[in-house]
Amino acid sequence: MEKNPSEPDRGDKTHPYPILVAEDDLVTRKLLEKILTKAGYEVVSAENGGKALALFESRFFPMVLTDWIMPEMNGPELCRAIRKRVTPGYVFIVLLSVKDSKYDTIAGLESGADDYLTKPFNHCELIARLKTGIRILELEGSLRKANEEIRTLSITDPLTGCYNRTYLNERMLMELNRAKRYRHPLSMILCDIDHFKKINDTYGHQAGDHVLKEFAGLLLRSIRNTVDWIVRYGGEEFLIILPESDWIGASNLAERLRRIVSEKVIHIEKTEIRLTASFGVTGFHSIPRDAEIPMDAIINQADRHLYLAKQCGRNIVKSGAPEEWADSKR
Amino acid sequence: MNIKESAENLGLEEEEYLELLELFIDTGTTDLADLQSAVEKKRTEEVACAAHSMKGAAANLGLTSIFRIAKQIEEMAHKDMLDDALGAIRSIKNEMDLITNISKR
Repeated sequence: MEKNPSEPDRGDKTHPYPILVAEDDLVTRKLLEKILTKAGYEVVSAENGGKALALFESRFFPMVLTDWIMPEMNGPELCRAIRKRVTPGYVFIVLLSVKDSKYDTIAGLESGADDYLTKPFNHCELIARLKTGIRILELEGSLRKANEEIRTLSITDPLTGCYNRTYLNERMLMELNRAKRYRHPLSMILCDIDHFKKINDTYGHQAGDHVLKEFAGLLLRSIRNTVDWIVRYGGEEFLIILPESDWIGASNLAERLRRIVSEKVIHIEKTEIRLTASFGVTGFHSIPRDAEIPMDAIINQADRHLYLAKQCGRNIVKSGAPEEWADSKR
Repeated sequence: MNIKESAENLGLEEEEYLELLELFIDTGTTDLADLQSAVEKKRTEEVACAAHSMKGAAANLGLTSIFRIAKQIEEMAHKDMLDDALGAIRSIKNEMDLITNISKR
């Protein structure tokens, strides 16, 4: 890695797109470093394709400027190697060579380069072509961001920020397989706000929505951040999935949630609303590897316990191991 | 040759360009010695490779005469006709001496 000592550190003025330069000729390499640094780019350079690839693997470069003929690994080989890798974003690659026949241009572009520049290059043209590259990188970036947003929207309940049923169907299958494969515990809590219809009828739907948000917030703040996850299962019904917890651990959490909810005061305009919820818990200490357990069957178990909780007068946790596949130790 | 103009063509300050010229002469002297030894041993592939890299560097710095001669040497190597290569290397050496004198002025 070489940094030009004669150039001042441009700090925050540097482009957000650092450039990796692969060029075996020392003079050309220094020339490129000077031109690119002057244009405000952060430049890291290597004297052959192999070293450039090693640098690329240690740090992501959205732009690569590479010579064609180099020892160890030439330009097209470097292009192909970069294209084979999974990168956090698109890499804009410009091939640089004295070669100038049509055939070479085609071979260069076919190896994965985006653009081709012949030596001697004109510095204005070089900078202009890199700007084209930035336009492509920015387009790709906004497209990727939009896709991520669409993905988030497609799996999220917009009101509460919990996941929706689409996500439940996707992820529950993975959680079940993982629990089975490693014989790890897996549990779920199905909870329902008591007499929610009364809140809606008394204070209106907006107040109802506010209560749902507050309730979901209480749940979300009480679970283990990266392990547990919550789905808005129905109108005022939420399903909490707890990997790595057996149903006893899950029951303890449900009891804590029940208390937190019952102690919470929700303000709607000048009115104070108190609410309670009922909880149905089920889960496995470990799932037999050959067991065929449909996701719906487990949810039904949790639902049966929730029904029992409602029968028992609400504001209560009812739990138990799934009957059909009950762990013999419990 | 006009240093100021050459520097401007590359978007560089005169001083920066001179720095690169110096680097070119430094590395070029070694490269030229390698080139000569490759010619003497009739290793055409090495000759082509060394001439090619010199050609590229010269082209980028706008050193047209060295570029032209290096290109000729590369072509000679490709045709496996190195008879005139030593003379061409001498021409490059002369050109380089000329550049050294100009850049020191």
